[in-house]
Amino acid sequence: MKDLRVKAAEGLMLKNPVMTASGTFGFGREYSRCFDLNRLGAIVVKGITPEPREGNPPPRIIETPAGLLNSIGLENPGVDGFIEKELPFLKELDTSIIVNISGNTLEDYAYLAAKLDKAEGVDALEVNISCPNVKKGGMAFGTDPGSAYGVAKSVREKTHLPIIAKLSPNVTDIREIARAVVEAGADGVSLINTVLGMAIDYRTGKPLLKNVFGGLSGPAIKPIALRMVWQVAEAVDVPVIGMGGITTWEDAAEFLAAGASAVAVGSASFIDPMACINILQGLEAHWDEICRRVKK
Amino acid sequence: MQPVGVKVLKKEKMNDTVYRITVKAPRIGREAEPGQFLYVKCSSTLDPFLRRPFSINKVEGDNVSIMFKIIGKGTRLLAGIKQGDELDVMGPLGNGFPIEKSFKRAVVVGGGIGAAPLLYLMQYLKNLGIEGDVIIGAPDARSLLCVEEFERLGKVLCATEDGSMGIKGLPTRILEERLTHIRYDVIYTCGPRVMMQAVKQLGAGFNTPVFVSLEERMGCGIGACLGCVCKSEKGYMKVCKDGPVFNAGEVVLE
Repeated sequence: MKDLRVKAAEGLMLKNPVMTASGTFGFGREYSRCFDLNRLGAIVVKGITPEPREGNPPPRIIETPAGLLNSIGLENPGVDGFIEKELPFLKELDTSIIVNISGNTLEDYAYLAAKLDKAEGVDALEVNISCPNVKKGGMAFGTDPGSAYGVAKSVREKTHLPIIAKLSPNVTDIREIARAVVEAGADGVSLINTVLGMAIDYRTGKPLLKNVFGGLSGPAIKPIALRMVWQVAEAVDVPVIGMGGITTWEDAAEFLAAGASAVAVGSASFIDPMACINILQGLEAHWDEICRRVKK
Repeated sequence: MQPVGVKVLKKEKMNDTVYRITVKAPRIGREAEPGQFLYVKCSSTLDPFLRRPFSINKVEGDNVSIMFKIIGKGTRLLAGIKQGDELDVMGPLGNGFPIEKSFKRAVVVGGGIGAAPLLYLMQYLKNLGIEGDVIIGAPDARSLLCVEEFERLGKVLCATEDGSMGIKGLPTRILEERLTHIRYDVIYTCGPRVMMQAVKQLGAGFNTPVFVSLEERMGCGIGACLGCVCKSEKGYMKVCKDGPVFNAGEVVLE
């Protein structure tokens, strides 16, 4: 057994660098029928809000070349539902549990941070300031350095858990946002969230997603994600978690070479529920050579 | 639940745009219930990216068939598969049509490619000793699917929009007429939403339970991504995991 341990954020060591991307893995239950979840470096759960959310009307998913647009709209059971129904299952696992949190206001984020700080079984918080599919909050917080700072600060004040800010690619200079959240006390950053996009049916002239716009994920966005991980890794001193279109261990190795300490696998799990495990096995087999090439 | 590679035994062209692929898949054949689906990778490359859900059309021992209509890139690629090729599938997934032992007589109503899961359902009903009537509709005679196979399993009534086979009109017209004479224990339907909505209303009017098989664009296929939802009395339900078969009374079809 090779030692694949990585520091995914200050104060957060993972047993290996392969994580799940929030929103693509639910709360892990479905995938527990496919493989042993304990093999993962971390599970990042579906985004949680203070109250339950119904999500957006369908169609919520449209496939596009080498990827997909989604507009789920943060459907989730709310923080109390999560703590009551999902966390008991997750905390029995021998892997790190990272809870993705999302709110409409600074108070929402502070409330979620305080509540989850006390919940047993949570190893870190991923602060979602980049969801493109909700009307209020979400991405609006992540596209302005001042707002991003405010959110990270309000979470920092309410928890001792490591906090990771999830960054939006829908900005002019992602380094400014990264620097702002680190200054506010973020222990790490994860990027990228989905790229805002849309699909139109030429026959009707109408948008295909009911919510008009959605977030693009999958291999189509990998070059954008790599570029931004490279930029952010140079701009901040905290660990960077890289994601965006990773489907193979080679993709993951590219992100590590760009400066990421860990990676998250998202849409790839849709086509192959074993994607995380396959990627982990590939990294394991090539770990020594990957480490030699990592940018220092 | 992991993807498996299965060998293509046969590809049949059913009409201009509909194909049937039969694969050798003993485990799937044993486990499959009518109404469940296989989640199929249509390309070995990253584009098209997602799998496509196809309901199970037929099971004969180790041999499992799916039937699909060419709609876009994925189905067009899938139609190019050859005998002997390997197909990457997950399944069977989802919940099938509920069947109760007390049922004596059922009717299945299919529109267009919606006839696909109903053939396997009819096979299944026959094995259980439940009498099944078949009502299928399509734009024209060429688009009516599996008519001869259905005829081996029960009474078949056809409706075409151009009148080239059976009555000229919609399958729901036949259903309404049947319901006024015959007491069915259950109605199973799959097809365009407007048709299923009409079947749901007829079922309600004649106090007969209706089960609908829904189609939606899917992400993960196993209930994690929340991409393929439909509106229900209890909020959104996942077509892949809570369905694709639902009690018509609990889902909003319009």
